[in-house]
Amino acid sequence: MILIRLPTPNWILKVNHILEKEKIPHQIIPTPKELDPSCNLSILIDEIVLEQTIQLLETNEVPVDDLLRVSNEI
Amino acid sequence: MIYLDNAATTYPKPEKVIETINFHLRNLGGSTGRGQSQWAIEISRKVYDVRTKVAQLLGVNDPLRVIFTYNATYAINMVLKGLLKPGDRVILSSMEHNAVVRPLRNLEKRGVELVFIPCNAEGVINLDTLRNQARQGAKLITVLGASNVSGTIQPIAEIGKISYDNDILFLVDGAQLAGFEPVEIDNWHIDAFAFTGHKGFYGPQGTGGVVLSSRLASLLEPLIEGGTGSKSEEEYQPVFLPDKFESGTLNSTGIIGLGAGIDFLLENGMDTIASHERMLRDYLIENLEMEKSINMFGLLDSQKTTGILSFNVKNQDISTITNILDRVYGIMVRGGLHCSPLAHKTLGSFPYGTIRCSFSHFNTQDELLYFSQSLKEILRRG
Repeated sequence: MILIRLPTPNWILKVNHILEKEKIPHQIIPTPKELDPSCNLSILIDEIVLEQTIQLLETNEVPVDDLLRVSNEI
Repeated sequence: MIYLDNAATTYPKPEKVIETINFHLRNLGGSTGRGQSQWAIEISRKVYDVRTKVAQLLGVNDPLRVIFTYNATYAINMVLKGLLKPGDRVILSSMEHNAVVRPLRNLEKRGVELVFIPCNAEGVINLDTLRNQARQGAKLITVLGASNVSGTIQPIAEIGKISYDNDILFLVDGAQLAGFEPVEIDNWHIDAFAFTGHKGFYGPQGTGGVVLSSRLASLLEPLIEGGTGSKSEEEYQPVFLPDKFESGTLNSTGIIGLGAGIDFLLENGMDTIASHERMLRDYLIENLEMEKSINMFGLLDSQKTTGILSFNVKNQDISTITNILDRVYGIMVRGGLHCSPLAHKTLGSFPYGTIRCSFSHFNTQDELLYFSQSLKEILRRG
């Protein structure tokens, strides 16, 4: 699984909206505190859709903080 | 009771708005952008959906350029006080509401120069004078989209072109225009469009905001700073939108209600509602124009106005008439200056102001017939 980190929950919601529109399966989850101590959220996607997601993020000028490979249990 | 004060706030609110707010208050605890619970996420999603609706309705692609505030006045203050510095020149129309005039008069004391562009007796801005003043340079042009006194709609697209051609930022007070006519913020070169949620959008009071251009957003200092739910480890305000300008807990209940109001507007058709209000305005003009003691202000052509009609009565006190209408006939209109002394000076109704009737989707011809008959009865009695 890939965890997408963005600077603010508002950006997460924007990405959520974009992915929903494109019917890309994803999940909004609390960002693990060791990655971000604030109340931020992250988006979790399957690696299969990573390339498509990156393309969408670039097209929509979304400033990604991090893309992290994480375990399925997160 | 008959309610004809929709320019102050629309009433009744659509059932859908009431139900949505009720549901939200009963069933969803949490705060948008704060916390990571499923409810907090759900509320955040709903608020984001409303950003999307506002953005689409006002002609911008990026919902994150929509900044929520508590009303249009707050949004206007945010722009004026966050942007203007001593020595800056600001061009404004002679129809502006005190939401714009008062903060600017305060800034004038600190060295901001104000240039007033005259409007004609119908409230329409003189574009030639504006063009000439814009050529001399300014930091900002600010014009209201439609008058809260006469309903006169300003040529916003043309003013935007003048701003753009002269590299001047452009602020629109859209309190009366938003929800009445289509607005194209980006195509019209608007850098800041202030809106309110409780008028043409049929939402609750305490909602509103401003849509910012990227170039203005980067220049603007926030009016308040504080917690945003993002970058909490940092002691400095975030610079990205909308967080830069949205410190403190948002009125998520109200914003979600605003979203339901926008849904109502779109389901019924903004054009259809505007046509209905214009039909009512024409009907009222028709009913009152034979009364010689009544003096109407602004444009009589309702195709160039919102659903507002202002008038006064020769040798009669406005407050007395509005009070009798209210207490005896159960009709609520607004009498006075409507927080817009400058507009009344332009229209010729200063210092006593006007009786203002303003309509919504829910008003009917029968109500206006009753209003006209009641008013005529009052006038006959003297």
